[in-house]
Amino acid sequence: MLHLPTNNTLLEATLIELNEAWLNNAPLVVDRIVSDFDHTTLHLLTPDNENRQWVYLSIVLMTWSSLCKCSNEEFLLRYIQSKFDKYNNDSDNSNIIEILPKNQTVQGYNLTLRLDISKLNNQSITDLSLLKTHIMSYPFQLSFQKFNQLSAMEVAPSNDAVSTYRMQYREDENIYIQPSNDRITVIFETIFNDETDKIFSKVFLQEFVDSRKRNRSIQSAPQVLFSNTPPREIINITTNQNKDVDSKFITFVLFPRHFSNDEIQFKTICKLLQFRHYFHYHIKCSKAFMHSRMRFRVNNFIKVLNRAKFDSNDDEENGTSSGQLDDKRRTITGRKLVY
Amino acid sequence: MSYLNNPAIVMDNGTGLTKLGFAGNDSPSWIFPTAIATSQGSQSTSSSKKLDTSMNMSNTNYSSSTTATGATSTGTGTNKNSYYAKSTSATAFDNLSSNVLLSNNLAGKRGTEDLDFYIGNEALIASQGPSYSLSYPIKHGQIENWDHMERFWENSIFKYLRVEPEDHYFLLTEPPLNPPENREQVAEIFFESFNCAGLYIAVQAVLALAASWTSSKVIDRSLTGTVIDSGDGVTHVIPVAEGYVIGSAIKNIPIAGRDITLFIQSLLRERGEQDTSLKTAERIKQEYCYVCPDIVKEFNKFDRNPEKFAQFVVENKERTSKKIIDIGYERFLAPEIFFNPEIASSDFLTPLPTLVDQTIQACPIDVRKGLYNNIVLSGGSTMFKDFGRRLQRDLKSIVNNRIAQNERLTGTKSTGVDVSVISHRKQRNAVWFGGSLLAQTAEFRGYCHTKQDYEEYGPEIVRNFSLFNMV
Repeated sequence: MLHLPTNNTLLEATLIELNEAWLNNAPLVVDRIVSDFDHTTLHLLTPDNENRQWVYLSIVLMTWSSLCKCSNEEFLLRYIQSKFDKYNNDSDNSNIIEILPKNQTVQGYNLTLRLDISKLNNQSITDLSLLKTHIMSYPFQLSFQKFNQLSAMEVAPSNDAVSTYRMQYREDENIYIQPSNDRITVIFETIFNDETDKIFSKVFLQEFVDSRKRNRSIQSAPQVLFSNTPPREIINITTNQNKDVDSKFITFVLFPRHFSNDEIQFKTICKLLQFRHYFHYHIKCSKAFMHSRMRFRVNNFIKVLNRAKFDSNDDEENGTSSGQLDDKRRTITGRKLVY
Repeated sequence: MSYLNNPAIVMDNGTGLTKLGFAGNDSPSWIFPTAIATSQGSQSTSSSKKLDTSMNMSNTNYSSSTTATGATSTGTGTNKNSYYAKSTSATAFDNLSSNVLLSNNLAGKRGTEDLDFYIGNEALIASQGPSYSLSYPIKHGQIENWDHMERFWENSIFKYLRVEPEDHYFLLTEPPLNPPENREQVAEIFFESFNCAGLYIAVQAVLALAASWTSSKVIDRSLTGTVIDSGDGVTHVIPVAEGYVIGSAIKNIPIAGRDITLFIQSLLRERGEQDTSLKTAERIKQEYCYVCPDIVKEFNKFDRNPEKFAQFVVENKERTSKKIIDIGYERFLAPEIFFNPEIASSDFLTPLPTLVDQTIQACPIDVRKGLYNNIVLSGGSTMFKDFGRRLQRDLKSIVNNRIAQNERLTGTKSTGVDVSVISHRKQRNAVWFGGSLLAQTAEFRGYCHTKQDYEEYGPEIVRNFSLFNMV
């Protein structure tokens, strides 16, 4: 079905493979690239051939620098480490999952985790395969905190107090997260380069916005708005002021029920972060569907055309073996060639 | 350009197995059967209901999965293993239901059925249920069902590789003698459906040659050689001169992995072993078989030395019962059918070395030396121990006999022909590995056709690709 898993299944499968190989006393040496959406590359590397227990998991994301700007890099690293702290038991000196200090990060990557392959279990492997989600959840987490702060205030805060977090997840494409005292607004800025995609995306987004109105069973879903111009919330901070790129803006309005506890928060983040992937995947699927309809039509037309061809019966009546060969030698009008 | 740092994607869609991965890796990230399980739209009541609400449904499904209320998808890793494991076989052993190929034609369906499908191992599992039917979109190396293939690619890119095709260059493979129309179709799908950044379509045999460069025996990196590609269904012998396949000389024999498995199975059955399933036979093939230099001597060796007989333990899934299977002469007899086909079949009798010789003799005379010099193995069925050595010896004797006869008849001295068969460690996925090797080079992007090129010239642009000049 049209379902994309939240975690990176390839990373998961690779870690399971490594873990099993270790348990079978045949540890592997790896140097592999794993990719993810939005210019994300993960790299698994066994740094020391002799000591195969340790594996470096490095990640480079396009959005890293904008994430660092949300607060600062140190807090971000601490936040990521906190996601994996539950697997590191205190009694042991060596951590199972540990972020390496900045100077030891593998060249060309934003972050390197050192993993103890021998001590991974299913739960930690699944969590590691969510690494990208964990990293990108940082501004969301900040907004949840900010929201709590703002909503605790008695007077509604002035507009100056409102801060917006920006995640530049692709070139020219951003996610804006703006907490206020009663809601959190998440705005996706996205661009389509291909002409066909532009049309598909427009139709799709219009239907997508309407689906909440039409269907009663999804009334609890966040409200979705769609516009071709930057919404007022972010009009001052949009980077693409030049109008030659026509960005589309999709706004999700999250109410407190969408982030009332940790579990729901995490789900909300996962779903929002997957929005663009689903969106693009869906458009590609629609195109594939159109193509299959087109092939079907063409085949039908060819059948009709073939009906207009001359019968080859008179050939078969001769019963000669050369009849088969001659059959193909016809002029464009279907007349048989005689020579 | 932002996609400069993204690794290129190498996709090798074979008849049986698909190999997917990133350039620069030493092995494919995913290996699964090239199979797709599509829903059978013929379920009367439920599907017609679905049709009515299809428009709503697609939106509902979508938005509910993007909102917070959607079901969690972080399952445990254990039960996923079977879906995501790397397979070495294209056969679905657990497939109890017969593969009813009912209406697989998507075009007859009008609902959301086009989204309801699985690929790879998931497809094999799904097809055991009543509502999915399995099909293999590639037959004899060539794509037969474009609808299915398009969706197969779509799912493998987004779900398995997790990449945005717009950001990556793609290297695809095609069988030798693939009609250019098929290439154009592939290009249409990749550029128009997926908007991929760039595309290169390479011939499998050429990639297999490139993969052999990792062997220490290879000194010059030339693209001249004979490729012996033996997968599950057919064994091809493909001569390649300077990167171009000599199409007129390609020969194939209908003996490959599956025949060896069946042969082992028949031997087990004759002996009345406890377990004679195809799965057992395949594992025996993969783990115990080897090629012997002389079949008669090997029989004697076995008779004198009973330790050579191995035993193989079959456990059922719950690990409650054990069956012990004796493995005897099939250890060396099974791969022997490449060299003496008469022991297994009665309709095909040319041994592989003879066929290789015939192939090379059918090529232009000025490339023959190069072809004898560089015989490269590729595919899982060439993995038997000493396969290359035996092939080299047999071929050498054929060639030497001919030279001797020639010298006797003409009275002139020949300079001799050097026969060498190259086997290397990446043989199993040689085609994919060769692709990975080429696609990670800095020049690769220059050889690709980009989306801009495609839009400028149209699909016929992919009829020609410039060759890698790696020397």
